[in-house]
Amino acid sequence: MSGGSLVLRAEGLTKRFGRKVANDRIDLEVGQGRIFGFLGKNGAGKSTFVKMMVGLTEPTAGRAELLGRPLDDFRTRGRIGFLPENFRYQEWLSPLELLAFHGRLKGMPAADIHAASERVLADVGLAAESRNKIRSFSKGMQQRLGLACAMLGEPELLFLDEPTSALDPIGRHDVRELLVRERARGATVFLNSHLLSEIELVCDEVAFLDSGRIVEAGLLSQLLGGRCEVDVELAAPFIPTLPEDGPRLLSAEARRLLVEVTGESEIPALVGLLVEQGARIVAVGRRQRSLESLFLETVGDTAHEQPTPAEESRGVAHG
Amino acid sequence: MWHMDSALVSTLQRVRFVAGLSFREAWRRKVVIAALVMTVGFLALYGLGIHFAAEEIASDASGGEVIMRAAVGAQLLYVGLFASSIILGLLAVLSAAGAIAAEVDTGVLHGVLSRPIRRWELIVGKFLGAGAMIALYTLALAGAVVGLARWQLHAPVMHPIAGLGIIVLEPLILLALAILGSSRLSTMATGVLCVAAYGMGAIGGFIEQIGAFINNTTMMNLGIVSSLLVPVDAMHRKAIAVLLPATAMLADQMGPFGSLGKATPSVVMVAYAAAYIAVAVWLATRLFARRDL
Repeated sequence: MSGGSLVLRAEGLTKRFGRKVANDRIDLEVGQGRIFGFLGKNGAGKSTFVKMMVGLTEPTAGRAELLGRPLDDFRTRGRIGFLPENFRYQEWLSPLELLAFHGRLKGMPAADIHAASERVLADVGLAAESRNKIRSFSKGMQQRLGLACAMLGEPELLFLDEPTSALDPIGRHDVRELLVRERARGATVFLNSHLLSEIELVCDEVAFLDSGRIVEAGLLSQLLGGRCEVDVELAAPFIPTLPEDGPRLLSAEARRLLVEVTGESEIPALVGLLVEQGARIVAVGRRQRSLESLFLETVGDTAHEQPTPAEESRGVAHG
Repeated sequence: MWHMDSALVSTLQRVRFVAGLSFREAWRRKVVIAALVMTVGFLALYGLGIHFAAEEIASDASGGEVIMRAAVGAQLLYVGLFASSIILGLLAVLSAAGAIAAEVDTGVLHGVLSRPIRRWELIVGKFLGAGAMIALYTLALAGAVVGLARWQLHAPVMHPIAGLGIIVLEPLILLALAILGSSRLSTMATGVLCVAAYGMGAIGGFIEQIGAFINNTTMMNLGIVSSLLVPVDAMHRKAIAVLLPATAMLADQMGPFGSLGKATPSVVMVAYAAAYIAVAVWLATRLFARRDL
């Protein structure tokens, strides 16, 4: 299912508001069945991009395709779901009435709408509230409702703009599980977020947006795994001889080596090599680059999120 | 998957879904209820006035009863329709000024317009939903005003169906203007704009009538231009002229909504008003088509 055809392709997509460039020549491809994380500081232009995708804003230049159709084909929107950053719904409706309206606009068969609505409401934990008026809902409940609305009718592509901004940690956990489930069903999830730890937990692929431009993009495992560090503790001082094109020795202290490898899979071979050369290893530790350190490196240290104490103590290994 | 069926939903159905939602919104938000309560109060006052007028005339033994009844009936009907026109105009503006603007501001439209619906379908649906509600309300209110005057005072009503049909155009013109404003401006700006337009039309009508009275062509032309810009008052004068014979009036009215004989709008003006509504809604769809939301 995953990694198949492209569901989103943007070429040179640009959006200007007067003199301000919100999106600057964005090239992007997203494959089917992925959870794609679109990261950036507040105001980087993430929402503008998603609004162009769902037809709320027209690009100034460039072109894009969704599910193989040009962006201006409004019918494609029957196959996508969208949770706006500014999630608000007709407060005088109940969730079931709201979803019935959206189901009809989507073109779902009338007979299926009720059952499908109850299913997505149960998924987001609003089954008991399905007949109450939306005006009585808390922010968090409204965001859950927005998620249900986006997932209604099993869309092939989901655009979620900061989907957990109003949720507590349990709610955030629930949303992550839902995203993984949507992916398992074959859907593609396009996730806008500045919550890096969250992205790190679920995304397959990411792109970093800074001042409207994509500054880094790729598979998360490659971006993070690309420069994995191995921390080797020794019983006695030792200097290894490493092959030219293999692991790289970063530092060698009295009883400690720091070696960079290109991926986790190289660690066993590295340990074998060291033992072969006579190193008396006491402990081996792996230090993975965190998404946050990568983010700070690419986007700069004015990032919205402050590093957590745990991250700070680990340090930004590759600054 | 569901998308297989999306082609089956036609433009007409989407317009109907939106219209149905707008119609329901008016009920749910208690706009109609509030208007009904106000209307019942107004009709009670109006009905009482008519009732006592009828009693007074009946007790008069001077023999001029029939003529008196007709004259007082026409007068009271005239005043009743004037008050109705204000209620209807305000209802149209207040219920529609935020139709688009408020939903853009709150973000409600982000959810709706990310669905497979064209923007013009949304605008037309909103106009039709609110328009249906306002048309029904107008027929009920103006129908009651005409009916009471006819029943109690035998007011000489000439063409009730045509008259009511023209009266319905009054709030629909303001509704179309409100939708047009709302597609680009804020709720507040739209409300102010529409109320000002309503007032301008009324003053324009007044100037036109005085112009007709004193034979001043410039004033008449000014009035005609204002009627073309906002044909609400023109439709009101036309409706009065259709409903009441000029001879039934105690005296020719000269007021914001007066109906001095010479300044009665023609049938062409009625057609113009209908076209005006269509063009305003069309302009709204054009203004809204490319707006960044």
